Parts: sequence; structure tokens; C-alpha cells
Amino acid sequence: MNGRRRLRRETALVLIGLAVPLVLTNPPIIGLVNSYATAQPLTLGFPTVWLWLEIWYAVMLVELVVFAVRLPSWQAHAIEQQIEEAAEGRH
Amino acid sequence: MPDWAVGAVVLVIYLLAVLYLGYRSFRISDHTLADHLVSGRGLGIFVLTLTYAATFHSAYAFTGIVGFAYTDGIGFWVNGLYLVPPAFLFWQVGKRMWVLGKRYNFFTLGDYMSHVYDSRMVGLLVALVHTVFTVPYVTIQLTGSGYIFTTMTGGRIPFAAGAAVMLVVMVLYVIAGGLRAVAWTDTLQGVMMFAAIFGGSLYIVRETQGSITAAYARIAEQTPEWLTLPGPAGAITPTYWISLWIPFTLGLLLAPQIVIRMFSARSLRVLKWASVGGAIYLTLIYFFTPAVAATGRLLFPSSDTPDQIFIDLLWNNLPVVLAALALAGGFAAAMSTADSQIHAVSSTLAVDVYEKYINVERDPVKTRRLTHVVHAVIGLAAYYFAVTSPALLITILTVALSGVGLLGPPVFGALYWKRSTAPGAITSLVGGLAVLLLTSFVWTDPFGLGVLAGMWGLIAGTVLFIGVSLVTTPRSAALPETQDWASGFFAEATAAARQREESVS
Repeated sequence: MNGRRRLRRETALVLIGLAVPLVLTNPPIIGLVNSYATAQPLTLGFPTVWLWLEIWYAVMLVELVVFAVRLPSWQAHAIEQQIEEAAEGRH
Repeated sequence: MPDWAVGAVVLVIYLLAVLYLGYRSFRISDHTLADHLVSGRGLGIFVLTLTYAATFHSAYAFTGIVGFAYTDGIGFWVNGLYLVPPAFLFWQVGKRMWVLGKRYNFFTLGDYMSHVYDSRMVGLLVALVHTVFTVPYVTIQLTGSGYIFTTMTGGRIPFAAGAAVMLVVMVLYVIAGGLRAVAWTDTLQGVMMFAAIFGGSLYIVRETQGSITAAYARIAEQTPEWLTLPGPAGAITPTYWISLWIPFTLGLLLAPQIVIRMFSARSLRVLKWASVGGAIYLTLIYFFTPAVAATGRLLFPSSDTPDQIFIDLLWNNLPVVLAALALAGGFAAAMSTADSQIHAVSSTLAVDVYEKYINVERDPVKTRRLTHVVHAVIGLAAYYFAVTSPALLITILTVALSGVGLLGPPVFGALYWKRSTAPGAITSLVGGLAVLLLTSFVWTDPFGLGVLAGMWGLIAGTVLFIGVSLVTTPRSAALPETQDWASGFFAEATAAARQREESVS
């Protein structure tokens, strides 16, 4: 698979990966959680709404770490020398 | 030793520490324009992470966010949505800015935008938005730190004097060391802020309520609506929720002090890990904030000054030395944003206005000298506004973050859409701003939907950007060229990384 196709595929993966938590932490889903919280304001001793949000924020953080470690498109530093050469060509 | 003396000593030690960092950065500087503006594009992971995180948060971290939670309940944590996404975008957008900054020698967002759109007007508008909507925030930081100064010294140092001390110290080290001084002091301030907010919140709650869960159990009993939406004041509606975090995400990401950090990383690897580290820092720091806000609500159920509750709780509940250190953390929170804003706005005015219209031969020595002067001028202007509090200031602050967010459509267009045009960018900014002001002050809450003004401005700006771009002819060769070059670079990097991975396995 060439670089551009892989880059597009990985970008889609990242966007979907982050979109899922964003959907789950916004209306209408957060409204459903709030409805449950009206009857059960605390879960495990913590605010239900806060717990729900915190879990999905943590998921986003874990995703960021995984992407940073694993995705080839996030390892662009490998060819940074090219930029130095391009910058030198500017002078 | 009386409490106020302990507070004064801690403040003096802190101020001497930041001045020392400013002096050290002056000593190692090569005194070039690039060194002053972007630290020679040489910031490392630890420093970039903390300068990003500390700059992102201001005195709001000590005052506004607890006040927000106190008044509106658990729905305040919509704030989390403009902590993680901007950090992700700091990498996603920042990596393009970084490679293009190295390739074409950009220092500011206006610099980049005027180049890719081939339009000085676009660059000027960006500089105007950045300046008008950022300077009031410097004022707010001075105001917040003036209050902290007064609290810590038992009222012996009045607000105006405290704000003046902060201003003088800040301007001195910004002039002396540029972005490196700002970044180093931010590193110290970031550590202090984290300890104060995270540790201070936990201490207060355990000291006054026994435990975190006990605080939540009591608030559930006393004010159950605090734990659900729309909150005690009925403010956090679904439309409020969405129309708050989207414009704020863009406004925080595209603030001049954040964009300039995209250009200042030593490498892409540094930028990547600073983004990840920044996201973790910004989410974790507020872990106990809802509990301390609940505590404030339990102890002071009818407070008229909820924004000051956290500072008062810290000063009155922690042992005096820890309280002084914690409040110094609050001072650091204000300073870490204000110094970055002064530096960034000065850089914007120097590069996007002075060099484009006056110093057209782009003599870097003259530009660097001008930035020094502008650092002082902006600082003085912010101080003047802090002590006079003109109504106009409050007016601008109401729309400031959303105003910067209006840069979103033209910036994303410049990075990713070849059909973008300068007329589209200009119309988007002007039209979006007009709608923002209209829905903020004249036709508030159009159609009764509860959508905030920032969202209306962003919608209008986006529609205008796309519509006008489609009916005008792209004339800039630089826009497709920069997009193709950046895309090609990252595609090649991806292929190279994948090849390396396969050869290892």
C-alpha cells in the first residue's frame, strides 16, 4: 500500500477513533446519561454524569497514546532531514 | 511568623526564581529574531508539554472553573471537551504548521496565512483578531494575580501594586529571553499549578468533608440538581453544551500563544509527545475540581463571588506554607498565560504588521528590537485596563475566545482545501465577526434555540468561507503548493515508517 493511501486510511482511523467518544459525550447521548443520573446521581460514590464523561475522556487519552506509539503516519520524524535540506535550499 | 509574611516571602522567592530563569535564557540566547520569537525552533518534549499546558490555562484554572462548577454544577465538565480535542489538534494541525514553518520560515499564523493566500489583507486580519481578542486576556490575568497578591499579603499590598509587580517581572523576562524565557518559566509554573490545583483540591476536600465521596454524598443530599443537567441555574442545556465547546476548541487551538508553539518544537517527535502530554496534563489537573466546587457550595451556599472560592479555601484550610505555595501556583497560572500572550501578540504585530508594511526589507535586528518595545507597550496597556476596568474590556472579553475561533474555517481551508480563496477567507472573518457581535449584543439567542453567539459566528463564517471561495477564483500558487508539499512529505514519512516497521518485524 503506498504512502498516501496508508496516510488516508490512518487519518480515517484516527478521526473515527476520536469521533466515537465525542458522540458519546455530547447530546443526545449525554442527555440519556443525564436521565439515568436523575434517578442515580452517584455511581460508585462519584457523580454519574462526571464519571461517564471522565471515562470517555480517558478513552481519548489512551487512543492518543496508542496512535502516537503505533501509527506509522505519526512517526514522521524519520524523514525530518528532508525538511532541513528544503529549508537550506531556501537560503 | 504571621501568615501574611509567609505569603510575601513565598511570592518574593517565586518572583526571583522566574527572573533567574529569564536571566539564564538571556545568557544562552543567540539574540536572533528566530531565537526570540520561536526559541530557535528548539523546544524539547518536557518544556513544550508544560509551556503548552501552562499557557493553555490561565487564572481561570484557579478561579473561573471552580466558579463555573459552583454555579452550574457537574455540567461544568463540558470543559473537558475543549481540553483533549485541542491537544489532538495541536498535533494534527501543528505538524503541518511545523513542517511548513521550517520550510518557509514562518513565525506566526498571520505570516503563514498571508503567504498561502497571497494576501497581506488576510495576514492583517489575522493579526487584528489575535491582538484585539488577546490583550483583554492579559488584563484578566493581571486582575486575578492582583487579587492573589492581596490575599497572600493580608491586604498589605493592594491590588494595583500586586498587578504592577507581576507586570514588571513578566515584561523583563519576556524582553530578556523571548519565547525561551517564557517556556522555561512556564515549565516551573506548570509544575506549581498542577501541584496547587490537583493537590490543593484533594487536601481541601479531605480536610473539610472527610473524603471525596463524602463531599459528593452531601451535595447529593443538599442540592441534588447540582449533579445533573441543566444544573442549579438551568444553564447547561444541550444547545449550550454543543455551542460552547466547539468555538472554544478552535479559539484555544488558534490563539496566537498556542500557534507560535507549533513553530517552536525541536522536532515532530517533540510536537507529538507534547500534544499527548499536554492532553493528559490538562485532563488530570481537574480530577478533584468538581469535589472542591461541591465543597464550596456546601460551605458557602450563597456566595456572591464563586470565582474567588477556591483561592479563599486554599488560604483558609491549608497549612500556611502550603497555602502560600498553592496561591503562588495561582499566581503562576495567571503569569504563565499572560507572558505567553504578551510575547505572541508582540510577535504577531512585529511580523504581520511591522515587517509587511514598514520594515519591508525584513531586517531581523529591527524587528527584534520592535518586539521588545511592543512587549512593554502591550503590558502597560493591559495594566491600564486592569486598574480602570472599562466597560469595553468586559464587552470584548465576552466574545474574545469565540472571536479567535472564527479563524477556524480559513485556517483549515488553507491547510486542507485547494479551493480556498483570499476573498473567502476575508469574507469569512469579517462576516463571522459581524454575526458574533450581532448575536452577542443585539439579537441575543436568535430563534430562542439557546445556541451561544460563538456558534452563530462560526456557522456564518464557515458558510461564507465555503460559499465565497466557490464563486471566486483561486489565485494563489502558494496554497496548493504548500498543501501538496506537506501532504507529500507526510505520505513519504508514513511509507518510510511502515517500511522500517516491516523490516524490524
